[in-house]
Amino acid sequence: MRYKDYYSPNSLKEAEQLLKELDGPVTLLAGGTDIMVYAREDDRYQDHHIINIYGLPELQGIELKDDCIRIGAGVTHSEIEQSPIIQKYATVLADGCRTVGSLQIRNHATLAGNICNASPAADSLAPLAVLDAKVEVLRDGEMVLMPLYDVIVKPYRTSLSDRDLVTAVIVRRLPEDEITCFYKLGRRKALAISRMTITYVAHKADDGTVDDFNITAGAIFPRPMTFPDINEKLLGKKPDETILEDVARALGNKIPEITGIRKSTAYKQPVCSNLAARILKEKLLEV
Amino acid sequence: MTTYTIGKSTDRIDAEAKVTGKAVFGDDARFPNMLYCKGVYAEYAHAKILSIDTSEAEKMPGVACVVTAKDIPGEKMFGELYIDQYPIADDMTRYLGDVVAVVAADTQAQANAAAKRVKVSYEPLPVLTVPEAAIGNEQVINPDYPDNICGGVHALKGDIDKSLRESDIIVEGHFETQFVEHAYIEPEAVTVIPSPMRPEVTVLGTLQAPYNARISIHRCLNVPMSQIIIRPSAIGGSFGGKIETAEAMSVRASLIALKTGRVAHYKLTREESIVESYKRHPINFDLQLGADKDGYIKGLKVKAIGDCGSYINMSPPVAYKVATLGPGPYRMDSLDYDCQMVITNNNHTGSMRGFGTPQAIFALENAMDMLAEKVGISPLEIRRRNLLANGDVSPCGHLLDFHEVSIRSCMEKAVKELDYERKYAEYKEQNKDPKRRIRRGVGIATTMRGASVGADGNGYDVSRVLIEVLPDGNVHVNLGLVEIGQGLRTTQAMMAAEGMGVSLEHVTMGETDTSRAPITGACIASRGTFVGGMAIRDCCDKIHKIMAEAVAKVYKKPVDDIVFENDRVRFADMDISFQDAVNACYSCDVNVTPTAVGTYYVPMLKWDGHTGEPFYTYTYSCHVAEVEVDLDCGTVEIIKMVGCHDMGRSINPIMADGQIYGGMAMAEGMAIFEDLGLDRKTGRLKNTNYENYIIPTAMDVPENVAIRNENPDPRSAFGGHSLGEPATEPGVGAITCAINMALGKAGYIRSLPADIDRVFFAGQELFGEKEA
Repeated sequence: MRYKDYYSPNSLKEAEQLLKELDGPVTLLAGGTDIMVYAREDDRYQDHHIINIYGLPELQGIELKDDCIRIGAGVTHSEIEQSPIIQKYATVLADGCRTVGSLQIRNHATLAGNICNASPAADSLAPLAVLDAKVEVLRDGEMVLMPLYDVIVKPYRTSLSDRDLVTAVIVRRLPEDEITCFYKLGRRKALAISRMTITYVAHKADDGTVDDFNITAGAIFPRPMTFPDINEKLLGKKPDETILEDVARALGNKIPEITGIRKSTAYKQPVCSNLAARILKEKLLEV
Repeated sequence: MTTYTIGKSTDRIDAEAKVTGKAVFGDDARFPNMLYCKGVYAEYAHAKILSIDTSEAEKMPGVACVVTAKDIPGEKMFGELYIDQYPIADDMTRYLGDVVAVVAADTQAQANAAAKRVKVSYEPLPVLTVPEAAIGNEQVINPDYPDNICGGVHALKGDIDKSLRESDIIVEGHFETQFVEHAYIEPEAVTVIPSPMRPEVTVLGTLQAPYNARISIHRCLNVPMSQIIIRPSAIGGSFGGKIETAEAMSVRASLIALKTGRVAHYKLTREESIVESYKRHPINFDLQLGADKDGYIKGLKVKAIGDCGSYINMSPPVAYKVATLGPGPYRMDSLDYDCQMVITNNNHTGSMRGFGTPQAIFALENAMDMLAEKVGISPLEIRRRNLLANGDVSPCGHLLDFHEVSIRSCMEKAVKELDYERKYAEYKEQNKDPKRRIRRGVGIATTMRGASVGADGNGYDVSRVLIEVLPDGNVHVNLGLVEIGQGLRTTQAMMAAEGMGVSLEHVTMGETDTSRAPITGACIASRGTFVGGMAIRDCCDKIHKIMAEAVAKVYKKPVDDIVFENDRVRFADMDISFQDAVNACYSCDVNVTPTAVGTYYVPMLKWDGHTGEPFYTYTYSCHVAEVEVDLDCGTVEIIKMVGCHDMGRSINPIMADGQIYGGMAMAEGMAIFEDLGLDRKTGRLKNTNYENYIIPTAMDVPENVAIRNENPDPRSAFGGHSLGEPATEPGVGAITCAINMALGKAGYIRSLPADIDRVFFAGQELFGEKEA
């Protein structure tokens, strides 16, 4: 790997100081499971200062708050997958993180790294989207809170500058009886780049009507999106086959609507609808 | 036959070095003052090279030299059978894996940087990537083959027109297979050490065929064969793949080592390895299978066209195996199997586990299922009606009266293990529901595999071994058939122990070294255990004769009935230890040398170019597979595979099982995953690493079952013939037959891989409209 120089600060403060003082492009290293791969492809980092923020104590930890969960930027996929808090109050994120790459990658790769790399195929992004994730960014000495949608603007592009440092990701805390689902379609069972993921969270009121619903697909859209118009189809209603199939079809229809008709649409659109219908029915129909 | 060592599961002799990380693989070699090499690849798959300017690269820091084809002092081309491959492209590029120059520098980074400064100017030529379009094309790739056909084999038996005319049922189909990468874990790497004393090079690295590499270096660099010493390192998988590519690299690195007097280390990245290395042949089959109304086969007619890519490599012998083994282990009155190989600007194609048969068996076995469907019987029953038995004549005309033709028992054991009949009936019933989205299927494929090279290599199918019995009673074996991960070294040691009549701890195996082990054919064609074992047997017999002479002199007893067994030597009324017999040889009043070279060559086979005895003996195999297909998204999950093989005798059962498990996993990859993403416009491969080129992971391989159905072969020294390639060849057929059963239509998917897109669209075509 070719780079200009390498720093390994011991605290967030030191990292902040470096960001302020250094001239020229900076790349923050937070695990390196993407950066090391890119560096092998070409010399894109040869003029970059590399600042390793992996393991900074301020970026660790998963905290349960009243209505949300704060996940430190340095938390790995394995930590999320194994966290009792996430498993209980944001199950869908644990499920998404569990399917990423291989065990070795999950042990090392961080959630914030995944966001900053902005790969549309990143398995954590669709769960984060349905959890209304917000990204906490240290910018010019201040903490800014940005919706995930505003951070990832298109594939492999974020709105962050190279002086911005993501410190945490904040997601909704779901009620314990929330129904959640994460489904991954890959070409194989491990080390698979997702062909598609479908994920939703739903909650049923005592009368059986749905009072919370958020569905999206991953590895499909240019940025993490949710669709209020689709969610509306189910909100306030008792799920039945017709409604769920309508929701599923609507999700599939978003593919040509948002990405245009491509060669892959012939596969992705029907498959998205098929799978969405299946996983919605599995968990939402009364037995 | 009582055995003491063979037939008992034994730890691999290299296990400890490999699991502790101590084994030295190709890229592990490090020497003082070593140079690192980097190849410059062609920019066009087909182009004239107008000029190469290396001056700027030569001025780059750390660069010792830049070599091009002009620096090669000997012949510009090499090849195992056909001399047409350029280790460094001379006047033209013929595919994108051609190397036009090689840079050597003090560090790898310096070599990489300098390689980018080599300037080549090209005149692009039309790129041919479709074999059918290349045949007779005005654009000729190799002027020796003006129609772009480099060869082929036409197997003929009986009167095919009559058989098809008399058939009640004829099934027809067009089948296509893809390029497949060997996907060895370790990319190619060689290290060449020049001698300071004389023009001599020692080549270490990933060399599956050391004696062929020696010939190639000799041919291109004019070094005497004796001064080219090939010592393969521990090899991280090969599957037939580390022959020509590694040889081309050996020539390049030797050129640099001789030019600079420095050690030259040359390794490929994964991407370079996939771009440069040869692949499994894509073959298209047009097939007609004729049978009577009860499904008894009358004749098979196949026209197969293989893509040999830029260099001929092993294409004609692959065509030979396609045409002679592609008809499977079935009775038939007549056969007309014509396989031709076409030169294109794709990656050249060569040896890969199966050597043409996984493709041919895929086509044939799906046609068998189509026939069963037409007759109205099960795939199992159609095979029961047609499989060969003792005393039958093979499709190519070989009377099978010399060993147990065990294909029927292989199939019956495999289907029993899978519970095939129950599952077939159950899934067939379930799949009648057109609304059913998750469907299961079971599939069967059977093969007969010719052991070793076959009649197209008559006279060349030789092996040799040097065994020395040393004064301490140690039996030291030097055999140039290479350990490539398959466990051959251990097998050889076990056969030497058995043959010599000593226990395994008295046998040591020399590392393969061409200056030490006598010239032998390559470790290819599933011949290592078979022909290696025969040479070991011959060698042990010769040494026993020498030792018998010595003990006769020392003990003054007749030795006509001498037996070497289990570390004892018995003759007349004597029962002495092997060590005593060794002592007799080295005693000062006798002084004979218990050392010999054993030789074996496969007997000349009757083959008139179309029919006869294509091979000396055969391995019978059956794979059955159970799959689950999800029509909602096209995924295929392999639920279970069973591989039942008659390898004659398994020398080391636990390793034989390992071969079978690995073979099934490899077939799974070819059947449902693997795709290099060839761009037919440019000849470029899109999927050049394992992020994009999908092979099965451990998570994708189910709990498969290996069954050994052993019938020791009287035509083999220790009863064992072949297993390496048989372990993989039926798998693709079994899996695709199972997928097509799940789809409810035999032979529906006829192109590989049956990946998620292909299976999804097949489901849409078959069931989509009914749903709407």
